[in-house]
Amino acid sequence: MLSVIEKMIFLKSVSFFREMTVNHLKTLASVCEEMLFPEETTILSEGDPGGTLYMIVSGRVSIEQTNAVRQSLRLNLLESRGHFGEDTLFDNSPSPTSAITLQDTLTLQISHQPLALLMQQYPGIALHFLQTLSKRMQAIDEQIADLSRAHSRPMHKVYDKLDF
Amino acid sequence: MTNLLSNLFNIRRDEWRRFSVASLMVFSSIFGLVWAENTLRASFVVAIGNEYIPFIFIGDAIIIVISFAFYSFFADRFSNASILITAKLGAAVMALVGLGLKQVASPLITYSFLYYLLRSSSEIVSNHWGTYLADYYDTLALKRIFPALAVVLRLTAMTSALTLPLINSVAEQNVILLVWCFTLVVNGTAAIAMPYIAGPPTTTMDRPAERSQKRASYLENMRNGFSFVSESGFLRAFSFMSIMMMLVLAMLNIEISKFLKESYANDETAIANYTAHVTVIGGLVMLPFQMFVFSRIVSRLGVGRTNLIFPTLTAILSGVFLGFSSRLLAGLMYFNNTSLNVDIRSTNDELLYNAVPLRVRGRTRAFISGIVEPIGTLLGGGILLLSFIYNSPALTGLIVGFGILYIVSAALVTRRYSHALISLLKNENYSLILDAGTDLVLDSAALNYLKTQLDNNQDDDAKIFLARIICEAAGTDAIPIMNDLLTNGSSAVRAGVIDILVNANIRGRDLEATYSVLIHDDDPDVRKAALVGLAHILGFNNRAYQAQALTLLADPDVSVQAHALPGLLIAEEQPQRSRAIASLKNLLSSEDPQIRELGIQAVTETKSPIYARLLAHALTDEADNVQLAAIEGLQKIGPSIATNPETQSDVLKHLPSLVQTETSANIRVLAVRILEWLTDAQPLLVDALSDQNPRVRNTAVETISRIGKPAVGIVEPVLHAENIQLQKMATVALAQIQQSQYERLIDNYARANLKDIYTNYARLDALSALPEHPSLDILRSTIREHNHELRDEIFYMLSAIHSGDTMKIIVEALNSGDPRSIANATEALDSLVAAQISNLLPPLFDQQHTDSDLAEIGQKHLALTSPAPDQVIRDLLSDDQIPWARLITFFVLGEIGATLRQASTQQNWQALLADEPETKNNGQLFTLDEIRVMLRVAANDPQHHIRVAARAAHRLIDGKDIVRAAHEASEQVLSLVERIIFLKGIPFFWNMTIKQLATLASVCEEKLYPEDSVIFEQGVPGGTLYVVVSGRVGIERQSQSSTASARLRTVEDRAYFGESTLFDNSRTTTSAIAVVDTFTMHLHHAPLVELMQEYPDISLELLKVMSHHIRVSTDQLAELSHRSENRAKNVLSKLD
Repeated sequence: MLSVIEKMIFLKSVSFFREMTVNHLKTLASVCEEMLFPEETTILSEGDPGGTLYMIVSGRVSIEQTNAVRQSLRLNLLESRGHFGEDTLFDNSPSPTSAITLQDTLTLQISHQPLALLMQQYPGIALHFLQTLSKRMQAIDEQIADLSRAHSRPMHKVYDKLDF
Repeated sequence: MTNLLSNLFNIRRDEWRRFSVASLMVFSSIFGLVWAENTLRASFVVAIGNEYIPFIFIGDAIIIVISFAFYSFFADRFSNASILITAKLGAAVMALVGLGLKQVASPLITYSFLYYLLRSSSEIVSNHWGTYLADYYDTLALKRIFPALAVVLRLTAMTSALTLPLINSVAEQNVILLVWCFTLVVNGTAAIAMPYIAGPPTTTMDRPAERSQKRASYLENMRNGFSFVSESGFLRAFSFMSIMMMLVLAMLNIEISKFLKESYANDETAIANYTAHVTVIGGLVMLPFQMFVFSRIVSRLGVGRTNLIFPTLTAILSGVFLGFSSRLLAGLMYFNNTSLNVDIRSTNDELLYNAVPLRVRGRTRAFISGIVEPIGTLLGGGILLLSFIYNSPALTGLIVGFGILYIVSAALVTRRYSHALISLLKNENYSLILDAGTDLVLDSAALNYLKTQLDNNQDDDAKIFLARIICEAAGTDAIPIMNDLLTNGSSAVRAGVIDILVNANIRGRDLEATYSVLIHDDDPDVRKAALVGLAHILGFNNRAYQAQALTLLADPDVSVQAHALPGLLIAEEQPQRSRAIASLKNLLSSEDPQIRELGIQAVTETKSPIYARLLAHALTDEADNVQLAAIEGLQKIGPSIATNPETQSDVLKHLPSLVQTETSANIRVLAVRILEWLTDAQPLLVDALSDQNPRVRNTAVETISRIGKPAVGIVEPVLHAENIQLQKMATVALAQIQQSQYERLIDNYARANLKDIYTNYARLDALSALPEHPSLDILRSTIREHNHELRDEIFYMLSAIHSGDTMKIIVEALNSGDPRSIANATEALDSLVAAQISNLLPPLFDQQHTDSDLAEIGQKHLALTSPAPDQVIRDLLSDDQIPWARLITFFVLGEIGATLRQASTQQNWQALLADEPETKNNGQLFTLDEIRVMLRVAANDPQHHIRVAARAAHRLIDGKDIVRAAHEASEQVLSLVERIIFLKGIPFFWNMTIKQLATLASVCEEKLYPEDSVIFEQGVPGGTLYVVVSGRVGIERQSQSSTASARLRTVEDRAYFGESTLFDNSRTTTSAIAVVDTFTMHLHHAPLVELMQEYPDISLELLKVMSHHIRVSTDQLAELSHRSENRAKNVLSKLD
């Protein structure tokens, strides 16, 4: 349904791929798959094998996680240009969250295998991903820092000594 | 018992169940078949007149075509099991009908009906059998199973044939036919039961795809089959061979039948008994052959060559039989045409089908069995019919002639078999799909869509991006849109769009006008681009263009001047040219290397050999970039250097030093390429062959093979050089020019590599007995990596004599882990190289094999010994082949020594108390003194790294603290090995090879930070990864409000920090303080990125690790904010 060109344009608007060159995007677009999910469908369940990046072309997806008391906690609400699954894309680990559609949703998917082959041929793509993930890590570290407690430095030294 | 049978028949233990059911099916099928066939054929031959015997076979052929129409309708459309079941049960029903016919109709009609029923059902089943089994076994397993099943078949046939004369003497024919019917039912039932007894089919790869397609008619299937066959050289040869085979056999069978009829005077029971007897005797002979010999013949000779056995035998026997007719010879011929035909030819044909892709196998087989083979029979029958009618015995001499043709066609099939296997691998190989690519195509709706996007988007980047897509796809239709952008867009857009238009090769009058205006644009980039655009439309030689360019020679921007030069430098008219040359001289004598580079690039653009001398002079420029530009330019002008002797001599003056001493690999590579056109300098290629950078070496090989024959004289002497690496590269290069001459040599090197590889595995096995030390781990990894390189080198060498693509596909298949691909790749390798090489290569890819498994294989095939651990260590101390091995081994001695010293300190006290002398422990490799002696050798080694390693080893043995050592030393404290060990401790680098880690380690730096000193402040540019060797570092973050800082974590020995800015060079978000005296090792961004460019695998590993980190951190974040649902949501949504 989506032509290669439309895929390319869409990909460029996703934050993940914002700085990619046209050639890289074209090759990426050729390995993307389109999938349409009807309303109220589970795209991904917690614990399912990962390895796929999903990008939302149109529609609405809720990202959820079950907590200790089996309640479903909504972590995030994604709309057009949102993406999920990138945290399991590279190491194929099981998905920590589930994704459920709230409306009819059209997604573009990239899986690990074709992406890995692509990165062998164009190392630049891998570098780009590394930088994106790196920024993400920094952002999370910042958030963690914000939520941790702040002390003056001499106090830290005291705590250090007490650790023994 | 099962073990014995397993070994005899070459069957694995887990396969017995399936094998049993399959055997039952074979037994019941063959039993009934032998009884029925002998009986019915004899009766048919008797019932029909002598001259009409050929009609039996002609009718055969026609019936087969018709049955195949039915078969192929179902072939790939229904499951293999259901086809088999239907065929069997259907035949049983028809057999009963035939029995009924016997009571009411004439013998001719009855026996022709029954006989053709028998033939058609048995043909369908025997052809389908292979496809059916392939659901349960892969290629390699089939290679073993088929001969084993053939043994079962043999035994059954013998039993059945033995009992036939007995039954004939006590019961009448109807009983025999009823038994046949019964066996068909048993067979069908067994096929129904197979999934329940033996598990469901294992390979259902292509089933779903087939099911989703619409049903095709018989004609379409035949057409498909025909197109598959006609497209494949292998299948064409196979078809021709099949026609010859059927033709020859039909003719021979007719002759045999005629002979028997006359010899036994029309007694049908006697004839049936005779053929039964031949079957029994033949079976007794074939049984041991099958049980022990056949599968081993196939393993030894390969499927392709085994193919030649049957045609040869048939030709020889037919000559003898036709020459001297006798019952014995008739029996022998009959034996050949039935037993040998099935046991050798048919079995081997099944294996040949393995080279046909699974998804088309059914239809191909149907086509060959249903149309091709019957054609053969028809031809054979027809030819003999003519000879009978015109009663010319000379035509039977034709049989021998066709026999020879049969042999020739079989030879052709043998040759094409390996090609077929390789293209099979190619088709099932995923990576080639990526190369297929997609081409952009636009219709007017899409164009409008893009236009709206263009208008709506304000972003320059996006506009340029969209413009590119539009141009690439719409071509000249895009001009109006582009013109619009060129007049109204920003300067970036204007420059970018011209760029795009030139690249998309779009020209037009309107554009010319626009460009002429843009030449005087305010923005220099736009002016440059406009020049390029005009050159693209008008060409350098065009007067109008040159006039325009002239105006820009005095442009304030230097790069614009440079762009104006090329066209003018080759102008015919004088004022233009001399002004251009003056301008060029200006550029080339500038102080700024960037400007000189511009000048060089302008010269390159002229593509004219006249200015090549300038390029040659520039080779000696002191600036790297100018050198690179000059050499790139020379390479582009390339071939014309060869024709211009002056340029040649200039280049020759400067090139040699570049090839030999220039530090940048890129420049060396280009220099080597230029050698292609400098005949006098070609001996330099030899130097390049032993360059340390593999890219340079490979370029040298490529250049040599491009030069071709003339280079042989230069390279040949190198074959006797001392450096083995050099010898190998030279051989590869020569083999690409004259394959047949150097094939032997390459074979030898491959074997030598294999010997080295397996020797190393024996060493690894010995080393595994030693207690664990980190450096020992590294040593083993190094040896293993070296083995991988040797292995890859083998394939590199082999691709000089077989195609490079073929080798690439084989390696990918062997690496894939998929048993089917591996089996096919091994077959392919088998048919290309010597047995010893093809036996020893696949185990090297098997992940399941341990070091001792491989060492065992080495012992078995190469008669290698298993060395003792201390001998291995001594060997490695002087081994120059394995990179870093000596270095690491010296350090290993240090670690071993350290352990010894700790143990001996204890021992010494005990010995002192017990008054005993110091002795060597059991299991101890060396004494402390022996180690000290070995280390002394290293202390004066010419290589810096080895001396450092020896010092480090001493440090370990003496038990010195590293921080103290750092205080005392003024030079490098950490040896390369220790650095590697530290780097390895970081998850990012877990899966890097030792070689890569060594490269990184060699550019790491060390520093000692006193207590309370700041390693880096928050907010400074990052890009460095630190590893704490010894000490303690606090990572802190200053909150925005006060001077208080949050301690995020504390980093201790062997842990690391700074990684989050390593990849993107961003500013640090934390600060790092040394809490106590801390000794660190650090790695910077630039060398890491260089490494990643050269080894993309590293990036993939790093991505994996980072994903893991992010996940862990996200969890931590969720924990910290678990109190409130909303808080978590807020935090996470901020991250997008």
